[in-house]
Amino acid sequence: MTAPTSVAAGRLELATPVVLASGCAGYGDEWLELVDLDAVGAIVLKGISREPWPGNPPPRLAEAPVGVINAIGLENVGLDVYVREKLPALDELPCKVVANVVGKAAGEYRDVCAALDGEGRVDALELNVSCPNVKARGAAFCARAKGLRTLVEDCRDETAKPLWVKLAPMVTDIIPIAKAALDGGADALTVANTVPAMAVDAGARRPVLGNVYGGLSGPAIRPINLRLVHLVYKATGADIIASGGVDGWEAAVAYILAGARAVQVGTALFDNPAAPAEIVAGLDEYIKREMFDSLSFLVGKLRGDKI
Amino acid sequence: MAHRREIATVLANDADGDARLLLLSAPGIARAARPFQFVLVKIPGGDFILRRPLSVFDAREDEIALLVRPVGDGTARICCLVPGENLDLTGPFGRGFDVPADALFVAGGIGVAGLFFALAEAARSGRKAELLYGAKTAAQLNARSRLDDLGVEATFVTEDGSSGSEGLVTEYLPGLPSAKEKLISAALEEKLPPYQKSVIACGPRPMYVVLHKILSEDARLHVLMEERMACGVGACRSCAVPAREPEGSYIAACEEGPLIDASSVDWNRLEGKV
Repeated sequence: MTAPTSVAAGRLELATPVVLASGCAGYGDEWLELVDLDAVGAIVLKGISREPWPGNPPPRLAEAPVGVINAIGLENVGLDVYVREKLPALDELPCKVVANVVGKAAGEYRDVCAALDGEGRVDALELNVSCPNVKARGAAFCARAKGLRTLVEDCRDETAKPLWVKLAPMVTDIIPIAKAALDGGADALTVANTVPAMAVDAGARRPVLGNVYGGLSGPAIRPINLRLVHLVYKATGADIIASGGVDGWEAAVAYILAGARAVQVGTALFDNPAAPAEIVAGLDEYIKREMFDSLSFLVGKLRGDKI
Repeated sequence: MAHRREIATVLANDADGDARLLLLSAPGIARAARPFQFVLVKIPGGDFILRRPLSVFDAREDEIALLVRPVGDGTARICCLVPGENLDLTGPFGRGFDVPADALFVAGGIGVAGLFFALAEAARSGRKAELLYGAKTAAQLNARSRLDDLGVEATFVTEDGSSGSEGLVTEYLPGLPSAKEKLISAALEEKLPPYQKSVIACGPRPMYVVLHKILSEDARLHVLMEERMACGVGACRSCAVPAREPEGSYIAACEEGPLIDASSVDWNRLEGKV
């Protein structure tokens, strides 16, 4: 019998609906002593590019009201080291592993997808077409439906593994973008990335971040991304993995009722490394208390939400 | 690595100059902690997401001490804790470091918090511990009585001359060649012998920049890098320090530091941000 909190999202069976978000979760083994991975359905590894990327100049972090602004700039070791050193270290992980793919051009995305298609430890791929911290700001991909569809089609050609596409929250209309990703062959959509933001040091009269702009995460963006999940679910019925300020079971339930099948947890790890286990325990109690057989039953079951 | 989360209990909170010295019961972290390591402290009250990195000031048996200066809302709340209250800690993070026998410790202001544990360990095991410690005023020379109790050989410097010598610590490094010696060696086209001591520094960035400039290239200088941090475990890459090699790359202070060999730092990029 499957556990009541197990879910399927984007052709991936997850033991729990809690997915560790790309970036915060590192290369998968850094948090082992602090985060209970038995409570985690999948871990999305740090974004990986074909060649190593150095990332942005510091400071890379600014505190915001109920949130954090980061401008890491997708610092990563590059595909070779990732395949040679990082993935083999994950053999013992009890959860699914999702590789997050980044690039500055379609060819780079394609090459990384093709290389990872043959990696047994990678259970799915998540295309990051929306990081606010790379110079082109992923704009060509995340903001234009046509370009995104072509990119997803290209990547789809390179891999048989489940393909998730992580969308940007700040676009004029997310629905055509979401449809383009699905038309291109995405199995699921991650909704959504951080919200573009900045912070200013009044005393120094300078931007706080070395990159000037960054991406806001944490509970501050939850109401924004919750609406986007709802919009995309209503318009497409797609498998959605929600992301944005999930720090407890109530936030997870809100996203699931709005249409998500799973939720990503990122920034909350910094505050409370026990968050994944607490969320799963809270969800378990919630479905028992409300007398539902499974969490999956609740997906999109919001009442009175005509739009 | 032995990272853990531990709910510590405040045993004491005493004034120490313009800072507070908190003594906490945290057996797991206390027994695992090594000099130069740090903990991430959750700000009481729940309004802050990011924990604050604080050096392990000292650790003995089941207790650790933290020296905290109230510089913002977060640290101010930590400073207000009273005995019996709890503090949520994760750690200990970062690497320890084997201190060479000839080491000179150089502290700037609250930076003494990052060095005290190493000084205390040296003193307790009967090794010599030499400290050069500067601050703006006498009130900002923290932990003085504790340094005296340990028998640390300390030289104090204040910018306003209110205690010890007047000026900056970087003007009082023992054994540096004088201006005259430098002129002679330049005239004779001779290289000055390397600085004899191994220097371990914790303080503000400008102090590091000056230390790096006045110590010869082959001096053994280590600096304790304080960066904005989120995870402590090397996952998020927030605490980036410009690295010399490969060009344009960064060192994660939480994982590879926080005590970092100055020769692995790209000082040109670092100074751009000072």
